[in-house]
Amino acid sequence: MKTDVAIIGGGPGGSATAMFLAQTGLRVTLIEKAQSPRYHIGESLTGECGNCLRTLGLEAEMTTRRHPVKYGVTVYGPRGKNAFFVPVKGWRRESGLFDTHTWSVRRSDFDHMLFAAAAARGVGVVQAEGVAPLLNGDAVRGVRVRANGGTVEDIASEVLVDASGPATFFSNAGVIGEKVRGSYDRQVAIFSQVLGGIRDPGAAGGNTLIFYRQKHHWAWFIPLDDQVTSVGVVVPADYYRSKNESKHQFLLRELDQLNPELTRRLPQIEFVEEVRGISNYSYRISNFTGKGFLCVGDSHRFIDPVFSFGVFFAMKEAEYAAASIASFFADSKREQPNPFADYQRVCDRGQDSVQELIDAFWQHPYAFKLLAHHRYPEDVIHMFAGRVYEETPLPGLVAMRAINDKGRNQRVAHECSGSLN
Amino acid sequence: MIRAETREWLMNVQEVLTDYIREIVAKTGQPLPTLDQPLLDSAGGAIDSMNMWPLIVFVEERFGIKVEDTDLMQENFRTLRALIKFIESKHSELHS
Ligand SMILES: Cc1cc2nc3c(=O)[nH]c(=O)nc-3n(C[C@H](O)[C@H](O)[C@H](O)COP(=O)(O)OP(=O)(O)OC[C@H]3O[C@@H](n4cnc5c(N)ncnc54)[C@H](O)[C@@H]3O)c2cc1C
Repeated sequence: MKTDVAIIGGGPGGSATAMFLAQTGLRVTLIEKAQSPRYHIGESLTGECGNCLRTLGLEAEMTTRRHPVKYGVTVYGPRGKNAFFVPVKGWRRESGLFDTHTWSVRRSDFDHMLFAAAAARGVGVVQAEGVAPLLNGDAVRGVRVRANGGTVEDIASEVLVDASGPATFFSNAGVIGEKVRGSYDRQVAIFSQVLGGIRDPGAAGGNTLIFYRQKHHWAWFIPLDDQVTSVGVVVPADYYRSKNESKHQFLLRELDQLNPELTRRLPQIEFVEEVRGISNYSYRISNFTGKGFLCVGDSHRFIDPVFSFGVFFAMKEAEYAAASIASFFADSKREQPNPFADYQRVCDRGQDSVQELIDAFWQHPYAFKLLAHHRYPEDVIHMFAGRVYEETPLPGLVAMRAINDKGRNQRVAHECSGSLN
Repeated sequence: MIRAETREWLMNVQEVLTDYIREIVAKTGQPLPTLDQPLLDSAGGAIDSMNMWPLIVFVEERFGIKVEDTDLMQENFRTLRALIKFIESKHSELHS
């Protein structure tokens, strides 16, 4: 079989890439190994992620499907105090910040909606597992897939997109480098869904709540429909092991003890989903584009879930990737050593900006709050509104980077003096 | 002459800061921290992310220094001693 663009993985990154490309008239093949719908973590969408859905013409369907509307995130400090609210905003270069709303989603429904929408827009969908890339020298020429029944087929492509998420297909196949562990690799997340849970009254009922206990120890509360709420805790891996509990016991106890405000919100806890755990989710692969291939979303990098940027990155990179692929097809010569180098630079800029935001939040919590609330409140809201791809970084981002650099240098100096003693 | 003035100024820093912190702990009901006891709430002290900003504004105005973005590191606010040292170093930067 032959196609213009083959995409491995029908999560938000893969399905969105397919939909953006379908608009250009290219032949697109989307390959997903799991039977859709399937469970996935990552349920709270940022404001700009909501706007990606609008760009794809999916707002009406999001409303029909009654995904909870999200107007912002409330972050509760330790002991349930000092809560602060981050409103959902959008941003456009022409008009600046504007009020908007986004959604939180049950990912099985959401991903299925995106996958089905791609198919409805002319994308060829293949239910099979990508097993090996087809190579020609350093260029990728397609992918070998295996269907559930075991039938193997080769799909030849001009461009192969890796949107396989944490499965990191290209990295595992050696097309690109190995995963490098990220800064937040020593935490684990344990999560499930509960019936009930006390939400804010009225329109704020769909908002996401974050409960901070201490560094790298926090919980989320994300409404999935009128009744069910996604709950999860993120803790240092050593702490989790030291408790010596089952995932189920651990989650129950943490939800009860982590933060008094969370305790109040969950008067009784009845899990309606399996209690799951995940570790080693923070990683990066630096060079993720080349002749005939590129990566989108989690297939090349995931930083940390605290600010819910994951699905946003997958969908925004999908938009950029589709534009980059379309100009590749428009170019009759196609002689560049790496036609997707610019795409990679843009992705890096966005992810690096968010990395600084997250590093400052965890490493310098007081400084982060002072910068975010007093010195650069506008800039930080802009960044949360998805303005992370700027060539000239916003002053608030420059400040965060400066603090992070100072902290890194101090840590290095400390480690060096430690090793001399 | 200048040295005596500086010494006096420094004594003054400690006194002024102690008075300021005394007012805060009067509200939180905590004992007044010694020079080396923690100031920040993450270590059990009285300064949290809400009252740290007024403290910084106060320090800037009272001592005529500018707290730069990179000065907001928590090391500078860990204890009264650390804060005094920080203000001193800012002051000598300004007057050297
Ligand atoms: C604890 C935790 C909490 C999170 N919370 C949030 C949140 O609140 N909000 C948010 O935005 N993000 C969150 N995230 C991140 C979010 O889950 C991901 O960033 C997002 O799902 C990435 O989308 P993707 O399309 O790149 O990959 P995925 O969603 O992982 O999709 C990849 C798809 O590829 C398929 N696949 C894999 N290998 C193959 C193969 N060989 N052949 C065919 N198909 C294949 C998989 O079955 C899957 O369907 C969280 C992450 C973690 C770890």
